[in-house]
Amino acid sequence: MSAATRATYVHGPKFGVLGVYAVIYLAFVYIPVLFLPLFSFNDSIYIAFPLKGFTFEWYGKMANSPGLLDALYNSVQVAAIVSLIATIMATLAAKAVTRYRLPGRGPIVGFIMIPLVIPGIIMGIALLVVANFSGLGLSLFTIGIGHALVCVPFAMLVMISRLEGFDKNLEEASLDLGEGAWMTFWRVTFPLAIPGIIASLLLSFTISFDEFILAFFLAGTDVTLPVYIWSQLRFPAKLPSVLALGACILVASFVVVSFAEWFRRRGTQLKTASGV
Amino acid sequence: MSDQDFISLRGVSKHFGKVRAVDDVDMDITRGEFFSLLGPSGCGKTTLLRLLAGFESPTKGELFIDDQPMSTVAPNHRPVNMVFQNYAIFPHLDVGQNIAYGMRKSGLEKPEIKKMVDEMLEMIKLPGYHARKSNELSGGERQRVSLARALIKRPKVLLLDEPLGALDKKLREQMQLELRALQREVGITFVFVTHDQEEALTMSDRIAVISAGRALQVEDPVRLYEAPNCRFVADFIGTMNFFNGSVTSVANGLTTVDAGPLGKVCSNTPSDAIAEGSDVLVAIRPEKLVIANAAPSEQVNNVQGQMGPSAYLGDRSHFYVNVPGNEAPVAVAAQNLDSSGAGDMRVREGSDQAIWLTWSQDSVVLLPQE
Repeated sequence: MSAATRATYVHGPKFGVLGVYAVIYLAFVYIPVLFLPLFSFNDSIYIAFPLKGFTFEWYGKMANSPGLLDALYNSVQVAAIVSLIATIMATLAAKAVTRYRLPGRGPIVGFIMIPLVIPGIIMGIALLVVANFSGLGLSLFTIGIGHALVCVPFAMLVMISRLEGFDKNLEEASLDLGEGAWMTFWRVTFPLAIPGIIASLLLSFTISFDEFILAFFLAGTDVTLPVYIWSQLRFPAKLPSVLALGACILVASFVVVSFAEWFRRRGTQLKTASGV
Repeated sequence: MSDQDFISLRGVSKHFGKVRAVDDVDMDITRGEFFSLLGPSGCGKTTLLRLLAGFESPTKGELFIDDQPMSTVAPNHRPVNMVFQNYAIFPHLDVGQNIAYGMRKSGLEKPEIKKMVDEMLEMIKLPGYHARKSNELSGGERQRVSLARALIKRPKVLLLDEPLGALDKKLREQMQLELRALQREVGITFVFVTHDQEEALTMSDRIAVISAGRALQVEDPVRLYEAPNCRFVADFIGTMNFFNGSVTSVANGLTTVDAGPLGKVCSNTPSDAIAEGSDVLVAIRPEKLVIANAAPSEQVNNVQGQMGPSAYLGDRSHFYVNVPGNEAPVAVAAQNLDSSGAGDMRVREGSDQAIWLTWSQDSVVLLPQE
């Protein structure tokens, strides 16, 4: 191998066709998203160039729009509860699946994962039918049930990979040292699973927070944010404050994802530490 | 109860589906002894250990520790502690917290527990290691911490699952001696699982050789090496030359065997179920064979052959001698008493010169044919 080729290898490929592709790709993904904060500060109700002037008006309108804030509050409430329920269920199920000689383990896991591949609209209609049948009525509660159904498989995937990632002997060592199953869970399994639990909470929260189809079918008088935003799209005057809200959510998501990533890396370090 | 059957296994079997990991094992382990379970990987020795620890429950049979039947006792209520093969140090806790882990229910105050942890750290020669994290420990240090974490519980029995397997050779040999000394010091019964026969011989008071889920022989190291009771044990422990033969006479404790290419072989080692006319396996250790350049005067216990390949191993040399009519070359080991590297043998491979192998009658082991 010549010195020149070797140098190319060391410094990575030159900026070529692939580089251009990468830039176009990133632009395609992120520039539309960046229009949100940009137009949220634009002093015009029309989303169009040229920009008119800088204003906080839409943020003010957003803060004074009770319907929007209610929807936001509903969404946060549903997402928080759903993520908690989905994570608890997924943690327990993942523990059962990864730790015990469970007869029919494969089919059980497959069964739990099925909601991943059922189209949302099918699920939405099905749940709507059940909600009407059972006399449950439509409310945030029914939305929550629908979301939990969708979130559990995702949470389960996260928790299974986390629980399979650490040494089973650690739990046996705890039993061996005199702790029962419950204390072993709290003293060993739970602390080691925390990175997975956090990841599962954040993932479930995000899924529930921006889920539209199920929420659309299952909403009663209280709506979640995506449903509210959809309903506001008919009124151009309301659009800029929706953009302002979008910008706020964008910033919040960025913070949350950074936090999750930090936690994941911390988990990876712990995992490395547990290996021999 | 006596100390002889401090731990006792009565017809213990463990089946995983159709696999008999442990198959009808009867065994007694004496109080305070260093007992090894030795066997190749997959022989069931780790399953036996896990049965003692309570992580598995027997399919059949019962095991007793200190006279108590154990099969219904959960692992956290058994008077045993375990050192895991990979040490299983809790990665989210520091060394001090790891060692103190099992003391939560001891009813002791924190300062007392801390004092005990200090003593354990002293004992494992890692004083001041409290705040270290498990990823800051070397393999040997992890092994010691794991040991301390188990011993602080003052178990009646300490179970060790190949605890030295992950260490390099020098450190392993050092830890073997340390572990042995520690066992004498604390006086706790150790049940030690290993696949390394040298390690088992070095450390153990008694060894159980396990194969295919069965305990083939339970003996002290010397008896196990010198008087194996079957081909597997003879083959697994050290090196052994085997020859087929049939018994021609049994008289006055002396058994004479016609061993084909080897000629007449006499043995005075006691052997069960050896009757006149029965087929036997004649087994002789390589170091029990002596190479001679001249024909011996006796009619028995010698054979003529030609020198085959040899290997120089520093302290000793290995020779392979081709005996006419015998398929496998006969392994001979000789101490290198001088610096020529030739043991007591001066004949080179491929030489036409005749050599003789001789052996004494008490070095011949007679085993049943399988």
